[in-house]
Amino acid sequence: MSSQYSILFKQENAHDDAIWSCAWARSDTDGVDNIVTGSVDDSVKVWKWVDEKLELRWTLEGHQLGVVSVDMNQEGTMVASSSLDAHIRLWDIETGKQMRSMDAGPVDAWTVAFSPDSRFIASGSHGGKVNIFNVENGKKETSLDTRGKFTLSIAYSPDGKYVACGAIDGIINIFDITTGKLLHTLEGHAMPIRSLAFSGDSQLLVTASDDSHIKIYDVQHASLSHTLSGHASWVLNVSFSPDNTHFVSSSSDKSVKVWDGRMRQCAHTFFDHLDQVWCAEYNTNGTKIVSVSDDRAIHIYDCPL
Amino acid sequence: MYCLRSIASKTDILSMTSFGWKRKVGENVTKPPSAFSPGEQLEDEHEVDPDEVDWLHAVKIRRSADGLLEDPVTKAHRLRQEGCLLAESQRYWEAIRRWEDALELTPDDAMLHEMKAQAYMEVHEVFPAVQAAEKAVTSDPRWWVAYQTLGRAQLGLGDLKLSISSFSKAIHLNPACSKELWEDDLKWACSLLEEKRELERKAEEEETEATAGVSGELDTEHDDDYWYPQFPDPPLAVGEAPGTEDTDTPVMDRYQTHLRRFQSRCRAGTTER
Repeated sequence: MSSQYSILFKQENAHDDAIWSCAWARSDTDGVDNIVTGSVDDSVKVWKWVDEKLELRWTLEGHQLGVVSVDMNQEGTMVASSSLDAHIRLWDIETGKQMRSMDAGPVDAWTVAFSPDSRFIASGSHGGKVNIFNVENGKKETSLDTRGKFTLSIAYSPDGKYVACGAIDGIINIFDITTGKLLHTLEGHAMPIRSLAFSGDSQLLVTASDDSHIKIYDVQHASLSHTLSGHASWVLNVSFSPDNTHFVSSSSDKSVKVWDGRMRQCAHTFFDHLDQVWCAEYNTNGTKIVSVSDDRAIHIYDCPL
Repeated sequence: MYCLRSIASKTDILSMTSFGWKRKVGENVTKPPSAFSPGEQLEDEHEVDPDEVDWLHAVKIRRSADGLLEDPVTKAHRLRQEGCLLAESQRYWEAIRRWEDALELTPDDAMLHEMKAQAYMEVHEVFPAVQAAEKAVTSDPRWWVAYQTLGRAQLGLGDLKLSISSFSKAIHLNPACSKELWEDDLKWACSLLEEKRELERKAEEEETEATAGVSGELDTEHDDDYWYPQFPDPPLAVGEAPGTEDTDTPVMDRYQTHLRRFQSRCRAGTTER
């Protein structure tokens, strides 16, 4: 654990083409740190983070088109991935085998997200609906209708109460999961929201948009608490640290920024990628960050606590 | 039969690109005049009082001194519009030249590169089209249209995998894009790839059948891995005379000629048009 932000490791040419998505989780069964990456080259790769370097564990093949989004469950045992051809696939990390494949129908799956209890997968769709699939049988459980446009991004609150989703026209919707009711509609940005994330205590929601701003909302009161500027281009991803105060963002301006949510300012900027950075995620205890980019590289950074 | 179908498909693509291109040209032609001429006029009004100025000298000064600062951009704009008009009347080569002149002044204009790529496709210059489209993509990596044009140029070049990757990136940048990109571009390229794989599989099968017929004594069990150079126990194992030990090379030769024939057939298919 270091006292300052620094880049720890670079995996060049991790995929054959641009990398669009990543996730980091520690497996509850064997305690291994797994990093999952999804690329336009149709493949999903599982990497093991050991001895300060990445080891390729599995290359998961099956998607017919580029992998838009990957996610891991809380226990770090399963991977969900979605591709442009609207197939959602579930994989077992330990065996590297596909567990289930769900066809969401044409253009009906974009981002995927595991529910905190690992029982469901939520995915946004072209018609503005949020489809919730059962992990057990792969069937569509329910569908939440935003009555809005294409749902690009999606996030479960860690307490399991809410689902937030961001649309291509910049509208944010927050649903109550138990009742399936639409709680709040926020007109946050005027441009696509490519990512949103809840804080660990489910109190705050941050959103990333093509307008190059990041907004922080108070979930309880559905009010905007702050707008952060700093990126020079589209903000492509946001992800909260487990410490509830910091979060990381990545952007088309090739940078990865760590923000202090309490001070409402940028704590550090990593300028190590050569092309737009599609995704950046924290590890389980908030000491590291992984980022993936169009430059086909995976970077691991050290974060002070 | 398959070759013929793919020829038809390629002409389809070309006609399709012209449609998309004209649409974009229309935008360019209508926009700039309104954006530019009023500003210029205003500037003139502020700068000069018509009663006091010697017009001959004023014009000269403008050209030599402060004119230099704004001229390249204005000139590039004029050249671009001229190119658009030329392209609209299908004088693509002249249009390309105009845009190249404009690019000398504004080398990072993604739109110029992209239009150039489309014009090159119109005149069937596939390789320069790909190069121009690649420049468009590097100039503005967030512009999905540039990726769409790159994909179409790569498709013209016959590189299906790259074109699918480019179309995918275009969709990823703008997921709510028109159906055209999904249906006409991405799905089309995917179906072509499928067709190509089928064609290759069939050609391979045909060849195995043909050679099996010729040598007659080939072990049918090994038909599948016939082309592998590390073929474990070549026909010898079946009980051929030891004199034919060099069968390995003729087999590879036959494969090479077959490959060449196949390639030339493909080439003929693309140029026949």
